[in-house]
Amino acid sequence: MKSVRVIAAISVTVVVLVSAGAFVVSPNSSTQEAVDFEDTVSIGLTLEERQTIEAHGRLVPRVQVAYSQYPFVVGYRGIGQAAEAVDDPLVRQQFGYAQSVHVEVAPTDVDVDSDGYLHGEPTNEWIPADEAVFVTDTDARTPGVEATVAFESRTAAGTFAERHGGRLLEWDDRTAFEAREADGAVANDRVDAQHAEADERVATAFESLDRPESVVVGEDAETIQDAVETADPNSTIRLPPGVYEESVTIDRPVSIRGENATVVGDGNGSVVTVTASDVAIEGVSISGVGEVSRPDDVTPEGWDGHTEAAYGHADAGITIADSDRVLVTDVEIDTPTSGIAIRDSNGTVVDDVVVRGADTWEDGFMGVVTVRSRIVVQQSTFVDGRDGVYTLRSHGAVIRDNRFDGGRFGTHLMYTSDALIDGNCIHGQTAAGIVIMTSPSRTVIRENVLVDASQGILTSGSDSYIGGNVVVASQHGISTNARNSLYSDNVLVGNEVGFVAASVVPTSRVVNNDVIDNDEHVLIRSGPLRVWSHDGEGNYWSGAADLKREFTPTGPVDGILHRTTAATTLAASPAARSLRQLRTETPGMRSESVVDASPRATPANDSRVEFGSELRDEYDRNGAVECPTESHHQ
Amino acid sequence: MIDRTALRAVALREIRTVLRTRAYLLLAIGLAVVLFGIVDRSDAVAAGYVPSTVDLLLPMELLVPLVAVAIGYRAFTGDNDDSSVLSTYPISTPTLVTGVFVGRLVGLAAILALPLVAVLVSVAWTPTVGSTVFATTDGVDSPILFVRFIVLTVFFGAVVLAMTLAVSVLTQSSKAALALGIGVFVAVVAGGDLLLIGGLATGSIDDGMLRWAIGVSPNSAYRGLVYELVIGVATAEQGYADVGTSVIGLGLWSLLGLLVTALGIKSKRRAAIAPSIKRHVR
Repeated sequence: MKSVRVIAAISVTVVVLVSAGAFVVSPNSSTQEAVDFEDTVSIGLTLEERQTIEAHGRLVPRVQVAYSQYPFVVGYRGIGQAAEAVDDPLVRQQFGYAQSVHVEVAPTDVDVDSDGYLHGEPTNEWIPADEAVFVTDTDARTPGVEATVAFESRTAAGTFAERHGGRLLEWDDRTAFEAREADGAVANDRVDAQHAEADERVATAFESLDRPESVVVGEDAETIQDAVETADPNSTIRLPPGVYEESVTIDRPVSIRGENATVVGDGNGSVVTVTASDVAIEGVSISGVGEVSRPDDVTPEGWDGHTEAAYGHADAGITIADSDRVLVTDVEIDTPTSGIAIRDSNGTVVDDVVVRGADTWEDGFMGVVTVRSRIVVQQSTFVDGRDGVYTLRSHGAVIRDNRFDGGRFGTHLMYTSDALIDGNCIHGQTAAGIVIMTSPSRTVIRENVLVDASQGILTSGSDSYIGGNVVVASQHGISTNARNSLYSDNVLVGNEVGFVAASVVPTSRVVNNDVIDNDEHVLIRSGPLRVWSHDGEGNYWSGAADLKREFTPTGPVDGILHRTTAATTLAASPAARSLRQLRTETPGMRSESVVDASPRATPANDSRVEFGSELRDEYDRNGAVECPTESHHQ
Repeated sequence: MIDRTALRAVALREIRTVLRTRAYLLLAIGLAVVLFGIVDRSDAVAAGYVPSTVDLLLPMELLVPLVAVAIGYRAFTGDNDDSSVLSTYPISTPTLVTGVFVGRLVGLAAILALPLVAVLVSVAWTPTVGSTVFATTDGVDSPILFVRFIVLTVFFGAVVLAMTLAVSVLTQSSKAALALGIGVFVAVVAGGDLLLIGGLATGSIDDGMLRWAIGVSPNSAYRGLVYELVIGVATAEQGYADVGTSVIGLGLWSLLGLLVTALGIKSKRRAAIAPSIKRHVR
């Protein structure tokens, strides 16, 4: 009896102590230690920028942040980037507050290289941000912004500031650190200017067609090649109707204008090769293209050399190399490999071109492939082959008002930032309509129509705008992988899956989209809970129009509201209500769901919804659908 | 005023009563099933202690008063209501009331806390959102916060129990006690909050006062404490409620309940003695 009492007394004491202790002990006492940067969920800089930095031994100071309500440590390339993130209300809502911030100490020999970039080896040595001394307003740069550098001591910081200028600041002064001003809205703001600039480039290229005629093939010269060699510079060579069996190299600034002219190569190499600037080619059909997609004689150079060798040197209807302001217009190309290959040729314009590739994509190659070239591809049609347009490091590419039928990908961007993909109709791809790879920045994908395009729009990178697209009858509509981006005014109708969410760091805004009659509105692959609404602005979801409450398209009950009315009954149950309750309080720690706190009662984009629904109906009736002929621009 | 030996005897008798009542065991099991169902379905088990607290707060606001009423409404009916027994109890009213309260509270605490402790253990055992690629962190999350939630929940239960004892002693039959017990349930679950909302609507409470006014409504006081001391720690937001006022508010509601209970017992004892005196005089 006595031992029972002793046990009871001990138990009571323990319960009382634990209970009281819980309020006395701070749960905050354990601080997150810094981890290896490689182990963080890292963001900032495009893959191209990272490759370049590494190749030149440049330095971008790094920060890592553990958030109170997010399971992964987030790594930032760029101190300004991190400073902006920890105070961003959207980040706070998704991840909670910054529980611990560590900055990487600059190496002792940190310097500035001849191009003005910060130079040195990353130390991977981390100290708490509030113990670090920062130097900002220096003459050193990192990609996109002026560098802010972190040091362990005032002495080290002072030494750097003496040599390179700048002020010494602390973490609390972080609003003074420069960060790239960028997000999806910023990207969208430049669209008009980018179109205007493209219009100018097109106009410049078209000036070549006004040149006086100096040679007529068949009259003044036997072959096109002879004509090129005899023509005055800056003159026009005319091709009367007929078939010209030859391969041509154009190494002078001339314009070739045909009329029902067909140039047939001998099945080896490219049919037309341009090696001079200001060349124009108009009104010809091209066939007899070689079948080599990866020639052996190309030696890869630089970090992108292998990609270039693999894709940029295939036999093509027209190859343009190291030549600026070349115009290709009103041209038809039948090719087993590439249609037009463009390398290191800025200002090149591809207009009103038809490229017909191999029937099966495995046998074919790229309609237009561009390497390190600022190009405009417009009002052209790409049928079959592998990818309609493939770009490699072709920043600022404008791809507008084209039509892509079949093939593997419609448009495929590699290491290409600032691209504008606008007003295209893309349909019938086996893998995806628009594919963005290698984490570029500031891509704009707008006003495109994608039908039966398998994966629809696959994004990557950051600070992009994906807006006003209509995706119909595809397996997946739009992936939201691009971070810090704006996805708005898109219409997703009758797809197997509307949105795919897979980004581990969901810092994008997804609002004002109309998500209608998809088998599944949202498929979530990984990452935490995302809030897809902002300031009372959400999306329209069929099945959730009358909810007047937060909506979880990934939830077991909400997710089928558009498929069965019975789900409405269950959704109103106290159990379902209490499960919904307060879910958004700690979103970062919860896995794999999407919440729209303010679902719309009516579609946000009426005319687009009507258009999308018509396409869907047509597709359902015929199992196929044509791209609309009207274009958005010009 | 309070006889410790008698207190222990009464409390142990109440604990035995709770233990003997199979329905209470079922209640505990049912509660555990509901709580697990919720945190499992909402993935809070994997997410951590704070998300689990967030998910369980609303259900607990409903379930705690329910369990407390179930435990308390018959405390002074049946055996304890036998007026002749009451009148001849050789112990003081405070001892009796405290004993009954403490005994029932131990039962209530067990029914509420054991399922919550089980949730705590399962949160501890369930790996958080894991990754083989990335370094993970628990964020601001700790079993300490969940222990706070458990303690606050039991505290809230004690308040409703005291109020239920008061109505149980004011009635003659079990049926009436049940009806009044349901009244307590409704008052606790909705009444106080409705008053607060009414106060805001009429302007008798302004937004500056709300932090303190919340302490007056038992379940708002409970909710405020959970927000302030558990959830708010993780989100670094403060000001959900004034901790002191809320604690005092809950304390006063318990004291009031126990006081009314004591007064009720006293008058019952007097009423039980009175007829026998009359008989004696006659």
